[in-house]
This record gives sequence, C-alpha cells and structure tokens, in this order.
Amino acid sequence: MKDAMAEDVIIKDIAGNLSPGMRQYMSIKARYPDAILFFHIGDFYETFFADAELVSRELDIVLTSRSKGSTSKIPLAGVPYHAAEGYIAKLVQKGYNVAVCDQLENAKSVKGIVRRDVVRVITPGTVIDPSIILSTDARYLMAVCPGAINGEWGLAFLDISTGEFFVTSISAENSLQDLLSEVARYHPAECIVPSCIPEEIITAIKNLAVVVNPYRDDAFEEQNARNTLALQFHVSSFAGYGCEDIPAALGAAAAALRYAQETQNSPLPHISGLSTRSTAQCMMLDATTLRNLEITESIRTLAKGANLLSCLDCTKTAMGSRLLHNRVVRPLIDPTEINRRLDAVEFFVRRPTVRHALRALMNRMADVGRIAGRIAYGNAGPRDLVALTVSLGLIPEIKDLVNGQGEEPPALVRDATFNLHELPDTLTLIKMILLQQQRTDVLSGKVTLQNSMNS
Amino acid sequence: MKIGYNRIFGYYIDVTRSNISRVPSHYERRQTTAGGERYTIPELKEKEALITNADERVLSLERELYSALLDKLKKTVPDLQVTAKGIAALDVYCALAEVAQVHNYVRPVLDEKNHILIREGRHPVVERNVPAGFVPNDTDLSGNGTQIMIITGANMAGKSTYMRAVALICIMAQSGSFVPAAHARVGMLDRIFTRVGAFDDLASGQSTFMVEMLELANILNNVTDRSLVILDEIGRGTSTVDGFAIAQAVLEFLHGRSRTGPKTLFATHFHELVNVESQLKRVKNFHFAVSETKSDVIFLRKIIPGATDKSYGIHVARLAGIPQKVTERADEILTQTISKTQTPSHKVQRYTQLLLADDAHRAPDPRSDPILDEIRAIQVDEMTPLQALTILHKLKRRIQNGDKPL
Repeated sequence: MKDAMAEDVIIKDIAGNLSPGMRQYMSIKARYPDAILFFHIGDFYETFFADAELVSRELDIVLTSRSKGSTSKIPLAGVPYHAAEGYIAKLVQKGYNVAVCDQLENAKSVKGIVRRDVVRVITPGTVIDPSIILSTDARYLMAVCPGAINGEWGLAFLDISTGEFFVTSISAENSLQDLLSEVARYHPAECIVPSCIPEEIITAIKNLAVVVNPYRDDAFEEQNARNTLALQFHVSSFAGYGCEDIPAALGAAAAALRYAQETQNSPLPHISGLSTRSTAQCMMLDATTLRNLEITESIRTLAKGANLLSCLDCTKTAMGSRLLHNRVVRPLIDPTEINRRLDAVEFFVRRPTVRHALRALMNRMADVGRIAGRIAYGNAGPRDLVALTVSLGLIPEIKDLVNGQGEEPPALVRDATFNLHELPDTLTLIKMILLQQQRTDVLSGKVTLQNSMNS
Repeated sequence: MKIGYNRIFGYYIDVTRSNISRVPSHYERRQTTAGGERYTIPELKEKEALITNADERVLSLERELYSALLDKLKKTVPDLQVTAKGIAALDVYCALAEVAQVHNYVRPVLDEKNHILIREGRHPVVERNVPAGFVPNDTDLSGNGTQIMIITGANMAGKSTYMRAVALICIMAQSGSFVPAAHARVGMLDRIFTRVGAFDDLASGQSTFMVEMLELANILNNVTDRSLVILDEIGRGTSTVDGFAIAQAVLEFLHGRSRTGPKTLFATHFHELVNVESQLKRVKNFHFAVSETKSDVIFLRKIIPGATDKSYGIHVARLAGIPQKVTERADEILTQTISKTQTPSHKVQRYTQLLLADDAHRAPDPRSDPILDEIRAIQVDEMTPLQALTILHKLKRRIQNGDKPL
C-alpha cells in the first residue's frame, strides 16, 4: 500500500523552504519543547532533529535523514504506528516526556495537509495506559509547594491510575530532610516544582531516582489553587479534607491535578477528593532508615525476596498490594487504631478456612481500582469490562463468607465488607452489551472482513 | 462453480478448468489458479459492496454502543473506587494473617510506655533464608531502665541482624501486623533512626566519614525520648582517637542528665566503651556468645550480658579466605601484642582498625608514646651502668603495668 500520507510532509521543497508539513511540525514542537514529539505520518510516528537522535539512541532504532535537494539533512527516526505503545513505554520509563501528535481527520478524505495536534502527553508520573505501567505498585505524581516565610511546605501525591490523591505538610525548619523522607516513602515516578525551589533540593530529589519537571508557578498560587480544586471537587471549603489551613498543600494539590489534566487531555473526573496525611500521625522513617532496614528494597541483592515488604506481601490483589505497601512505610502511633487493625488480622488468623476461601476468591479479582480509573478516563477496553463483571460477581460470596461466621466481625472487617458494592444493574448492562463477544479490538477497528464472514 | 473470497480479490466465482468453455462473456477474469479461473461480475461486485458497507456499519454501531456503555459506567466510578478500597483492606488483613500463621508470628501488645520488650525475637527476612534455623534473641529496653545497650564483639556474630530485627519488629507492630517473636510489648515509637553505614554515598563526592557525621547530626538534632536509635560502629571513618572520642561523647549525650532518654542500640568496635557502663546508670554491655574450641570458633548468635574483648577478626579473615600466610602472621603479631600489654583489646583493636579504615594512619604514631619519649631523653654517655639498669628496670615495669601510650 503506498504511503500516500508521507507526501504531505515532504521536508523541504525544491527551493529549500520548509514544506507546509514541516511548518506544521515546527509549530507544534514549539509548544512542547521539553517532550519528545511523536508525529503521526502514514504508518509511523516520526521524530525529527534532536528528538530523532535521542530516540535512535535510547530505543536502538535506525537514525535516517530526509532532505530533498538541499544540503542540510534533517535527522529522522520513526516507530510503527500500531506498535508505538511499547516504544513510548520505554522512553517514559527512562524518564522522558512523550507528546503524541495524531492526525485529527481521515487522511484519505483531505487534500493538502492533514490536521494534526497533540492528543496526549505521557510523562513518567502521569501514565494511565496499562501497557506502560506493568507493575501493580502505586505510581505517584508528586508536587512540591513551598510555604510562605517559615510556613509549612505542602506536598501532594496523585496516582492517576486509581485516583488516589493526598497531601502532606512538612515544617519549614527541617524541610529538606523531611521532604526526602516523604520522597523515599512514596517513591514517586515524577515530581513537579515551581521555579522558586532551589537547585540543591531539585538535585537531592533527583538523586532518589525521581524525574523532576518544572511547572507553571501560577498553578501553585493559593487563590488559583483553591479555584481549581473547588471546581474539581465541587466543594467550597477544604476543611473536610483536612487541609483548609495549609495553603501550600492546596497549591501542591492543584498543581498536580492541573498537570495531570493537561497531559492526559482530560478533566479526570475520577479524581474526586483529597485526603491529608499528617506526618505527625505516623512513625517517622527517614530515607536512610528505610534503606538501612531494607523495608521496601534490599540493599545488596537485587533478588526480590530480601526486604520486609516482600516477606509480608502475599496479597492476592494489586489493590491489596498497594495498600500494604502504604501501611508498612507509614506505621501508626495510636495504639487504639493499631489494635483495630490487629483485631482484623487476628479474626483471620483464627479462621484459616475462611481466610483460604476468601483468598481464593480474591485471587480471581482484577485490579478494580485501575479499571475504575480507565473507565473514568474513557479508555477501558472490553477486556477490562469483562474482568470487572467477573470481579463484581465474586462480591456476594465474599460478603457471605465474612458475615456468615456466627459472630460479628471486628470493626475494620465489617467496614471493609460494607463498602463492597455489587452493582447488579451495571453488571447486567455490561453483559447485555458485550454478549458473547470477546472482541478486544473493537476500538481499533481492526476487525477484518474475514472475521465478520465467519460470525 | 462456487463463490469464494480472499483478501486480495474479494469475492469471485471459482470455475474449474473443465467448465471454462461454458463461462459467459460478461464474466471478467480476475485470477488464474491451478484448478481453473476466477471471475467477477457486476452483480457480485454490488453484493460485495453491500456486505462491506454492512460490515462498516456494524463496526461503527458497535463502537457507538460501546462508547455509550462506557459513558453510563462513568457514574459507577465512585462506587468502584470504594469497593476497591474495601477489597484492598480485606486482602491486607488476610495476607497478614496468612504470614502470621505460616511463620509463627505473635500479636504484639501495644502501649504508650517507653518500653520495648521482646522475647525470642527474630529477623523476619533473615529467618527465611537460614535453613539451619534462626537463633532468636530477647530485648528489654526502656527509657528509664536499660536505655542503651552497648554491643561489642565480632562482626559476624549477629550484631547487625539483631539490631535490625528489633527495629523491624517495632515497625511491623506499629503498622498493624503480627510479629516474629514469642512475645512482644512495644511502647509507641515516634521515630526510628539508624546509622548503619551499609550504603554510603560515595557517588556524591562526600567522604564516608562526612556522610556518617551528617547522618549522626540528623539523629542527635532530632531525637526524642520516644525514639529508637540504632548505631552500628560509629566513628569508623576517622582516626581511632577521634572516632572513640566521638563515640563516647555521643553515648553520653544520648544518656543525658535527665532520668530518661531515647532507647539505643549501640554496636561498637571500640572496646574501651564498655567502661562507660560503670559511669552511666542506664548503659549496659552485651555481646554475642562465641564458643571457642582448640580448633574452631563457633558464633552462637545469642546475645548475653557483659562485655567481650575479642573481635575474632582474624578468624573472620580466615573464613573469608584471606591467604593462610597472612592469617598465620596476624596470629603471631596478635600473640606478641597481647603478651606485651595488659589490655590486649586496645592494641588489638587498633590494628584491626588500621586494616579497615580508609585514610587512617599507616602505623601507630611513635612520637606520642611517653615511654619512647623517656628513652629519647636518656643521655647514655653520662650514665653509670647502675643508673642505666635502674632506668631499664623502671621502664620495663611501666610497660608491664599497662602504661598506655596515650
């Protein structure tokens, strides 16, 4: 099949001027100077100039060049359009931002230059694609907002894939140490900062293997922040979230939300609330201690079993794994609260049969948290929905197991079970629409005539 | 004759060779095959177009339906998120219960007192990797009782594992998990500090000792009565003299003058520090038991009260595979040194210090020895033989009485 599209992006015409296609590229690239721009041409995403050199080096693909009659060659490197996700994933894992520029209209029906624009920007902290985040761990985007003079600093953490969103504050005196502790605790994939953050702090964060990107100062500003968050959450005060009196926390939260919305090109409606984690409510474990005690990572061996978390983590669901991780790096300091948790654990220690049955059921559960995120974002596939129906279908049995013990389960177990929604109408709806089909490529329109002939 | 389909030509009428003569003239030939010819006709093309059209419509209908479904589902997202949290919690409680049962953990007792009591505590990670059986140990630390444990002894005896186990048990307890012990009572800790030096930051260009001091500063400036402090061989990155001085000063600071202080586990290679026990009320010495036979040394990994002056450094060297020539010579030097002075630990430790330190001095500074100073001051030419003998006798006695060079 002839690549009819490539003609619209001839680099230069005979006179050596930039072609209209290249002009289009340049104007889009000017808006995304810090990202690698993937430009859709025909069957490929192409990158040019410095992007091409970088992509060729990092992805080990051939660097070619394009020129038409002129002496200067433009470096060029491309990846196949249908297989781009894997390449994008690799680049993002290495810490780069990728701006994906698609054709906005059907190239066949247009004369001249096809309309193109960036449809999403993928940054290390804002990925939502399941093909890119392969691990089940929470993946946080972090934002840092310094306080007014001697005021508390605000830190925000957002996991786009599940909608988990919380803030914490650190005192101004020990800010660097405490900041690094929180970074070590949550291991964000990316951190955004306003321009006033000193270079040494940025370097210290980078040393913990976090990608740091600057973001617009006005996003962190208090009044703007309040407006942004009020709009998103439909609230007028943040007292309910516990951070009304911490302007820096609001600034960090708003900045993180806006950055996420911009890169995903979506209002992200599943991010519907915020929680405040006070560092005073838990045992402080600084970065050095987390490392020295090998709590989440072992020091010497790269083997998987040699840290505390892996010893404790025999959870059956991705959601459970993330929660356990959270609890281990944030031990509590209130005996009453801890005893409630221990009561819940003891309940299952004393009932091995129930426990095993429950774990067997949960083993068949999908990552409902992430599926919910994808539904909200609009890119949940048929496979996700099928997995969702299977998972929700297990809930009645789970409830029966827990509640059928003859005695009232401890408070936390009762609460957790109460929160399980069976959503029978939703299940019926999904089953009706998806019927017997398991077509996983409905959205990409790749169903061939051959297949439809057979059905 | 039959109608067939393939991706390249679409629909066609397949005619076998024997029937070709009967093909009407309006048939258009498309393809020749081994068995015959393939044709198409306008009606066939019409039908083909209809089918393709229908297929495209089906696809776009499917897409519409699916989009509508997804839109409806967006309303369920909050419920789904809450459900996910509920599942996560149940999963965590079950998982912790499973681990507790399989590995014999016990439910910790929690309170707000300044006390950590552990009977037969084990390191949760290490115990899984020790097929021969992990040796459990007790801990009894309290802000106004045994506040600071000084642990001396060989590096392989289990010091680091023990100290880490205590910290991990406290973390597990406070995060709501059962713990690897026969019994555990944990008073709430607000912070755990560690200075272990296992992972020094050479890449950033700071010296090992500088990093050590930075971490120590963080600890000393932020420690409270409710903290747990774990110090593993501080003072290692500088000269023996300075290191020892710093170590002792830190000990005294943590002990403080008030009646309570942060619970501390203090492993050290400075054997003199054991003397602090007699000076500070809440400091106690401990060491790890070693069984010594004529031929071998066995580390029993059991912590017991009291100090030890043996590092078994040469034994560890032998175990590591240091050439026999070196270890035998080390044994010789050790024996000589021990026989020369009454406090062998001090000189012995100096040598082991020198072997381990990066930028320490190459040899003990001869100029700082008062005995040598005296010898230097002797004017041999002006002495009678009797005077010389007296001085020699005095010097020998000073050495024998353990007159330290510093």
